[in-house]
Amino acid sequence: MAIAVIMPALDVTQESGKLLGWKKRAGERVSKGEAILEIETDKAIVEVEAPGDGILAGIRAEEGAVVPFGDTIAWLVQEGEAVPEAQASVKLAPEYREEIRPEGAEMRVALPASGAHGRMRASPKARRLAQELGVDLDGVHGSGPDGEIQAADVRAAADAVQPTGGTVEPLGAAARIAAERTAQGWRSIPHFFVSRDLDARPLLALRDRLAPEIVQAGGVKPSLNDLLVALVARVLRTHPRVNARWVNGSIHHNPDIDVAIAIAVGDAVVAGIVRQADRLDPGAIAARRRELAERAQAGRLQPADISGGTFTVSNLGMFGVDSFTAIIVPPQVAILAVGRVRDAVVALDGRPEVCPMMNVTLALDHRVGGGRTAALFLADLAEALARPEKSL
Amino acid sequence: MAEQSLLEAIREGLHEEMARDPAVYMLGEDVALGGPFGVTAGLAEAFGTQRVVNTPISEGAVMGLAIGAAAVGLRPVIEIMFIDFITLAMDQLVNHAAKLHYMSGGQLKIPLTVRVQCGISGNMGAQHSQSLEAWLAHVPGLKVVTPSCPADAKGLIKAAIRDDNPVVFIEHRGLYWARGEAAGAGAAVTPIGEAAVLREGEHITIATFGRQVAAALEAAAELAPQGISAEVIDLRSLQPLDMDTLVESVRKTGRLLVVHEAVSEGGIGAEIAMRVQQAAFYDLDGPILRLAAPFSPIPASSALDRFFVPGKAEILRAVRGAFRRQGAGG
Repeated sequence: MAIAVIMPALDVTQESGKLLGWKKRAGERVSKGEAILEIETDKAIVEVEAPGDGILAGIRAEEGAVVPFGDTIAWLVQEGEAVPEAQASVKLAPEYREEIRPEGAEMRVALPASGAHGRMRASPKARRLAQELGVDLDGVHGSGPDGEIQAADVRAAADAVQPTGGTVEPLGAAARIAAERTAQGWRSIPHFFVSRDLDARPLLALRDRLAPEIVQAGGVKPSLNDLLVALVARVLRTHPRVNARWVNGSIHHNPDIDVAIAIAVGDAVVAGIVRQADRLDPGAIAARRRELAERAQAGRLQPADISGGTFTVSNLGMFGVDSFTAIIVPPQVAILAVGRVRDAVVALDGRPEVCPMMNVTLALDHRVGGGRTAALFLADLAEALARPEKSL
Repeated sequence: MAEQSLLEAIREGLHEEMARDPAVYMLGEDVALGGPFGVTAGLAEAFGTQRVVNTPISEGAVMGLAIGAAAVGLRPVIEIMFIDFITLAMDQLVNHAAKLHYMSGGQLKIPLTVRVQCGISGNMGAQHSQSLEAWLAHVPGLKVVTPSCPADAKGLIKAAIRDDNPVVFIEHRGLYWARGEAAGAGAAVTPIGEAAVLREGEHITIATFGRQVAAALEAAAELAPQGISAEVIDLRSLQPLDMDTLVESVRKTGRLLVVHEAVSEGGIGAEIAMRVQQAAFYDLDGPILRLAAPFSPIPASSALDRFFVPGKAEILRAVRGAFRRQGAGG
């Protein structure tokens, strides 16, 4: 029976995606899981896999076309089978929709902005233009009645971005969406930061012990960050508020612990998801991390790779950073910023000692918890780091 | 091209249709004498009192008689005088004229033209000044047209008479003596359901009909040198509405002001606003605006007219309000 190739919904806030190109031609035989086309949403460029085995036929969307999610764009048929008649667009099964729901689901909801009226007012046309021109309405001066942002204001803002001597670096869709989400996170989440210096010796020892075993077994050598991710995920089990979502004024505890790892791709950053990281051993996390990094570098991330994280770990240790603070990605409520392991003189048992130390800084959404929530999480993380073998 | 008044244009249209088609005849109080304002003057002399028939003062009876005549093949044009009096014929019009084609499964046609005049003019008070077009536009089976200029008055009365459905032809009394370019002998009919873009603009669409068309054009002319380019649309047909023209215009300008002399609540403006926002929401650069009479009976005092008739000043105020810059006065 013919299988429909459906434009997948990558983002519940969007209605369509752009078909970048077919990787297979009509008449070509494809097998389930093989990448057959590439699409671009304002979140990312992703490959779409063949939903089954068959011969690609009845292609209905050309390269460059903007296609509503749920539309059938081609068919996989068997030898000698005809392409089914055109039919109404197919609704995605609810579970599929759920699976690919991104964490930034309410990203495009009208955002409150500072101003005399407390709320930013923008006309429907202004909002549409802002989206089309990639203008952040938050920075636009509204010239209409009561400061309403009108279409002309958006056009002026877009024009103002034109070069006045320097050069303009245009952003791709993925980078723009990342910028938008970061801005939204910073605007809407009341961040606060709690830091702790941790003794890195047990972590280093653990890596030295595990790495040879894993490598010998043909696995990927775990980094310190992979180990940290494994420990953080386990600590999150007893800190549900730190692994929660903030949705419409209430705290939603996430059923799973899916840790997002910030991966630098050029000047951009991508958050790759390690699903159920609390159930994966360091070797599995390392393998997943390498897979994500390779796909990110190649621009081949799948929807499932980048959607649905419940907590983020960002590590700048490899760049020599001692400590830093990070911005929470909504609707997540926390992010852990990890610095490098560096030798420091610390007081141990009443004597100054040189000890490898690592700074971690938790940014937490103050709506889900206060200083105590953050401190207790870091205390448990310190405890897990001190005796990693107990939790791993 | 020669000029004529709107009243003369209607008369010319009636005359041409009566001469063209012997099935067309006229029925109403004093129509053989020319009617209260002289629209039908001379028709009885030209076509005889067999085709221009005076009736007793009984709107329901006139309407019922005309519906029966229409059902058997004549093309009656009746005059109800003030639209306020159409209430007396509403059962015949709404429950019979508008329904018979449908209820007979298409076997009956009711090619009936109902002439009424409306509007605030001459301080005639609460019972002789209303604009009830929205009542009529609310009835499936009726068409409602209203001209703003002599050429359309002639074109639309001819279209109404030739239409196989009941058409209510609304004449604004305040326009009867307004002069404009004459369509000329044998001019084409004005199709029902087509609005006219009388002035093209970029920044706001002013949709109106009847007497407010002239006010909108004057306002647009005054706004142009101030940098606001207004598009003026004369709806001409209120049922059906020419949504294609309206939506295309609003897509271009991003703004809409609807003006009518009927009271605001439940008026044609509300219907237009609803349908435009549905079709062009993401092209709207500001709320849809409406200028209409206050929700009140119409006073007889001439001193109060300016509060009830949206004119150039009110349109200018509304449009400037939509473009008022933050912090600017006015």
